[in-house]
Amino acid sequence: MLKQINTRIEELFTNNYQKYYRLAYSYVQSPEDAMDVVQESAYKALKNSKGLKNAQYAETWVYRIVINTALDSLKIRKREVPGVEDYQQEYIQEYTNFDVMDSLKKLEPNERAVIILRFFEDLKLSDIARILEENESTVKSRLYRALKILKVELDEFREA
Amino acid sequence: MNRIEDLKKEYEAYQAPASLKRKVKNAMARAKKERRNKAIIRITGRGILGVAAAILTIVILVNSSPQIARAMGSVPILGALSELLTFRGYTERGDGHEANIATPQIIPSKDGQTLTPGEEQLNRTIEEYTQQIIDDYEAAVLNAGGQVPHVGVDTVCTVLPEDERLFSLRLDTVENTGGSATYSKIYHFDKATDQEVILADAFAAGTDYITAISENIREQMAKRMAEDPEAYYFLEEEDGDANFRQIKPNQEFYLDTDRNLVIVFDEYDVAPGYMGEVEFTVPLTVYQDMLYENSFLK
Repeated sequence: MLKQINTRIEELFTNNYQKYYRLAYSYVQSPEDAMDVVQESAYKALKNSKGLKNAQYAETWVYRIVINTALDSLKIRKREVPGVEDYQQEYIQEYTNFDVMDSLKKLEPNERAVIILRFFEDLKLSDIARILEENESTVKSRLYRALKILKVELDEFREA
Repeated sequence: MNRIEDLKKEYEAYQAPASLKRKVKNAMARAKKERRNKAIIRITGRGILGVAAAILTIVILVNSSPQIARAMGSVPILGALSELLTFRGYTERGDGHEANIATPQIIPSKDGQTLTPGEEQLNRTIEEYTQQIIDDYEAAVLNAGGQVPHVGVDTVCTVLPEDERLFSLRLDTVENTGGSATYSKIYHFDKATDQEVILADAFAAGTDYITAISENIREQMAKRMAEDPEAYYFLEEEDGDANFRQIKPNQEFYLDTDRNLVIVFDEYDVAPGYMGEVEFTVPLTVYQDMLYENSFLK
């Protein structure tokens, strides 16, 4: 039973590390930190695999680890404050004025997670609720609130 | 939802550098390697009442090594001892109460072989310890005074990372009587001297390893509290007696897979209950000079 779970966890990281990278990046806003988060999460997930009771929930369980690890990384590095790092982004994104990550940064971390998991990773609300350890109605209201903020941001850009 | 699709495409354009694939693989390999050194042996036999001498089925939950991959009555002890480790299980279950208490015992791996006096003594020591747990449990059940006793006791035995000199066995007991308490007992057996050893035995006479290690731990406590708002240790309590002052000569410890010294405190000992059991890794530099010449910590 545990062997199945371990195999599943390995599978998830091997096939989905890019998804986890993007999710981590949305929090930590740097490629190096995002990579650290993904590696750290892979290690933690496999090391603590006995915390996962059912292989069915492996995907949501891993997402949760990635998010928590990203949040820990933020706590330690305290890089939530938009500042100097943004200039780097500007140079890289020369020909694209509009950056999805910039947009997402306007949201609270949990609002960001809901948008990413719902619209970019196509997860069900019930899965998202499980990942964020909240009830579905909370997740739903977060989603609408985030959409509202994003839409406002998008509109501002389009009109510019 | 056109805009969302556009956003999604942009989002997916963020790709990790190529090196991440390899790094993830390495991280997972490291986790697997660390697990391999630790065999968690849990007694899962149910429905056998009060048969203290029965050997229950042991299900190995974590296994990557073919040697340990069996659900049998005994497992090989890696490293220091060439004997086998077996378990006498005590399982009792009734209305509202349940206990799974395992007594690990060293037995010879071949017929006709005998255990050393030191190994026999270790078996007796372990047996006394678990017997006490069993007695306490039975007393709690009997003394429920006509009410349904809500008592639960579970033990998990862990063979700690293999070492050429030291055989270490950890017994974790979780008690549920209303609240829940976890405590650990870690036994160390020095094959070179055929004796059970405690932390003090690693250090030369007259050295003040207690102060050195305790100071280091206090530093770590202060640091953890500063970095993590949820961490809390009894360092500066109003009731000065509750503060952690120093470790004991027989302080619980173990060596991790990198041979670092890890000090273990029981729940409620140096921190509030929600912190659980706390552990601190003490750097070698803190105590290196105080080890006696042939110390098992080297």
